[in-house]
Amino acid sequence: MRIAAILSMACLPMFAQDFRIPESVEKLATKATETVDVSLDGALLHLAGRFLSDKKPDEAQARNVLNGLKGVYVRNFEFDKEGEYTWDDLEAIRSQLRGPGWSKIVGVTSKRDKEHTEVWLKTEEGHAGGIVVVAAEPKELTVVYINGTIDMQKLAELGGKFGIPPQTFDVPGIPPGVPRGPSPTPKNDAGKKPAQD
Amino acid sequence: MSRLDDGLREALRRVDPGPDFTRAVLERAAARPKESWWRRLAFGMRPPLVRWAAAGLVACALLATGVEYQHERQQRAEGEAAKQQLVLALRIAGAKLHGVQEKVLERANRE
Repeated sequence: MRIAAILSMACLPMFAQDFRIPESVEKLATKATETVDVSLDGALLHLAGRFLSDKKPDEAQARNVLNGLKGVYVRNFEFDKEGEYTWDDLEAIRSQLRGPGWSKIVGVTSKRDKEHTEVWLKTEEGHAGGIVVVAAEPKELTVVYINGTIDMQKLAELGGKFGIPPQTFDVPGIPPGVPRGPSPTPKNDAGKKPAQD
Repeated sequence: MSRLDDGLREALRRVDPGPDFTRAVLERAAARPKESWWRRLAFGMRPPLVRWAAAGLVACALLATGVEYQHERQQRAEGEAAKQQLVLALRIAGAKLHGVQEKVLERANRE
């Protein structure tokens, strides 16, 4: 009984956060010359929201975006040389996103620049329930995970504020506003080559 | 010596103030203004135990205020830090998505 209770508690984080940044990616911090590590769960997001002023238009809009979000996680690693992370590290991320509800909406590869970027979206009951961005460059790797109900329209309105380039968050393939209708059939990414340059 | 004795006797001789003296004294006592409240409070706090109790209460109030102020300061610092992290996260996400958008648009324009 005790063992069952301990095992179920160990599994709890897996259910609470259906995407987790893999341990192999977390360990890249030891090789990186510069690391950005942001982990804001529900409580911290709520706290941050309290300090976003309603009187400043930028911060008021950011506060609107926070409504419905459960977590924001960013890992950004900059390396001195190429080859510090492998395709297997990216595969550890992608294997989680092949589950139900997730679909890759953008995949861009540049052989010339040796860059590969993917954007995955989770749809829940007809609206965006999470977004994962993986940007792989020779000397930089970025993983962004935003968990929770995302209003893409409000997210798009953040473009041009806080140093965010304008017309950002207008993710190709996502119609303006909240997507309606049933969740799309998740794409099976296994064996598929990324988009060619 | 006898002149000194006579002088002292004369000076200290009992003199009747008259019937109005008593009445005048009582009237003046009745007309005397009441003591202010803080004077009465200060007088009431003369016993040491009351003084120590009052000092203790004031000290507790100051301590509670100090603790509350410290807690609020700490929360404010944590909140500001969380806010800065959030802005940084949005900036990084925005930059990466913007890069994707540019590449997609670039290819769309090429085709």
